[in-house]
Amino acid sequence: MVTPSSMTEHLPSSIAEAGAWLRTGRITSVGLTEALLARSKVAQDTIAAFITITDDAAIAAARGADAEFAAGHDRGPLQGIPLGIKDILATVDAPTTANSRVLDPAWGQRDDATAVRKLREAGAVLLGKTGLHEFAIGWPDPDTGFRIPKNPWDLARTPGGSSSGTGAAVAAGLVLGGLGTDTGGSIRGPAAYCGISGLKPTFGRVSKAGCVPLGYSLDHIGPMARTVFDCALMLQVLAGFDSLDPCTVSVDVPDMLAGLDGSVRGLRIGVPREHFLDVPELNAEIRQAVLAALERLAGAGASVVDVELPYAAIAQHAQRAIMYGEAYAYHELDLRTRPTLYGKYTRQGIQQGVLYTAGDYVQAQRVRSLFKEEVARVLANVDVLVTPTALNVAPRFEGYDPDVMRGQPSFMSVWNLTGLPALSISCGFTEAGLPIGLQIAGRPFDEPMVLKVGDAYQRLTDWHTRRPTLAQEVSVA
Amino acid sequence: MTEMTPEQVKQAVDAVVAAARLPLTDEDYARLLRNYSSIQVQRAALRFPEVRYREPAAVFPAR
Repeated sequence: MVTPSSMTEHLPSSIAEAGAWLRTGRITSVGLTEALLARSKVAQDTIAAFITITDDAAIAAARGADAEFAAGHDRGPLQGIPLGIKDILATVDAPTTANSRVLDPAWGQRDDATAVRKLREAGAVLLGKTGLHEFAIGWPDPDTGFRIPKNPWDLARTPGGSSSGTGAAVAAGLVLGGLGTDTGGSIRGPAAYCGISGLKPTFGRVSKAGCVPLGYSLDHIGPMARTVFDCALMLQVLAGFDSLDPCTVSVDVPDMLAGLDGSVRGLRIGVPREHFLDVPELNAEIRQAVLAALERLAGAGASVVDVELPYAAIAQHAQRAIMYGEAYAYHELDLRTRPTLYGKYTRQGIQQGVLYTAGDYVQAQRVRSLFKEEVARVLANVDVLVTPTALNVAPRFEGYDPDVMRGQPSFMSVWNLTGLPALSISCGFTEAGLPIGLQIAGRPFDEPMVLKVGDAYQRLTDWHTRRPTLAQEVSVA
Repeated sequence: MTEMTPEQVKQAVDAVVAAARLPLTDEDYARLLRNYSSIQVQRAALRFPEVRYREPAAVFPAR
């Protein structure tokens, strides 16, 4: 019998720690994988992070990793590490559903998505496919028959979306990391709500080949993990040009770990207060936590300066026009021919696209061009921009109104519009014990700087080490 | 932007839905009606002098 305390105490809590344990023989990949599979299955009754758990494939991969360690073959930091994959990315060993009855099962009968293939080639052990908002948009609808992931910090609340399952699984310690996708905040929102780290890389840094699209020009794939350091380890593997994805950019992939030295001395941090901090809808506890985090970084030697992004509010409208336009184009035929197969929140969300015109789409692309220039001017004088990740803590399922959410400011979607890298990390908890997210955005393809600031903050604080009580209560008989 | 009457909103939504041949439940339809005005405000906000003659961000590499 594996007791709750033994699972908590005798398993590594991060990819980096697991890597060290695997290499010193303190644990085997098979042992780690079996423990996390057992934990994941028990947690399906509460957290429901997975749509499919791929036991056999995971154990086989873990055996392979252990055999390679034994033979002296080391593929790098992800070898033998259990991860989860958002079920919107194709995998050869499991169906891909996008959490929808609409997606043709034949779509998923293909090779691994490029990002998945790279993880496997790096020796990662994939435990299964994690839950999400249907087609990465909307809100869970129980009538679709899929389980709804819950937030390990409070089961009455969402882990956020759309990468709900990966966020919940990482927070609950069911996997050591995983993949999310992000069109308007779907990596960073769950990261903030679940108290973990999540990185939306630069558009073009990570291939989207093999991922069901939501907004073609806004979609990103990125890592979610307990620590920024782990995100860097994953991004190192995921990054790079891919001929299968015309959006990827052929640029050098730098050493993502090189700058993770804990120092922010001399760095300049810009704070766009007007649209990101001095916002009436912003939860006061979140505002306070973000200000405290900025003080902490300033205390460590960073220079914190106010900056202005006057077009940020309009940029949010542009992101919405583009996202709804692109999503509507993808779903138009199914919305006409079999609309009731969608969950109602997804259907009604995508239907909003009919209210935009082709002219709106182009106009939004003009705004995009203007806003990119504005942000580039600001980032010429600062190294990163820091904001809250979200306006509020994870919402309750009960009483959720998608239209209220849609009408509120978003701090995340503008970085999908610009394509700039943006990271969410935990910077505290509310009095009610819910995680608070801090967002760090940077220059194009300068993930190393974004990671450097996030990692340095995590060395100054311990918010990222806290775990939900529920994760410790998951027991296996 | 002049505020539209509920009847004008209904006519506008009916027109786009018919053109799109989009089957809707009563709830879907009610939600489109409810959101129409706020989306109009957002659409209008995308049009301002600084972007009037601007090249859009979409990129099509010729290769």
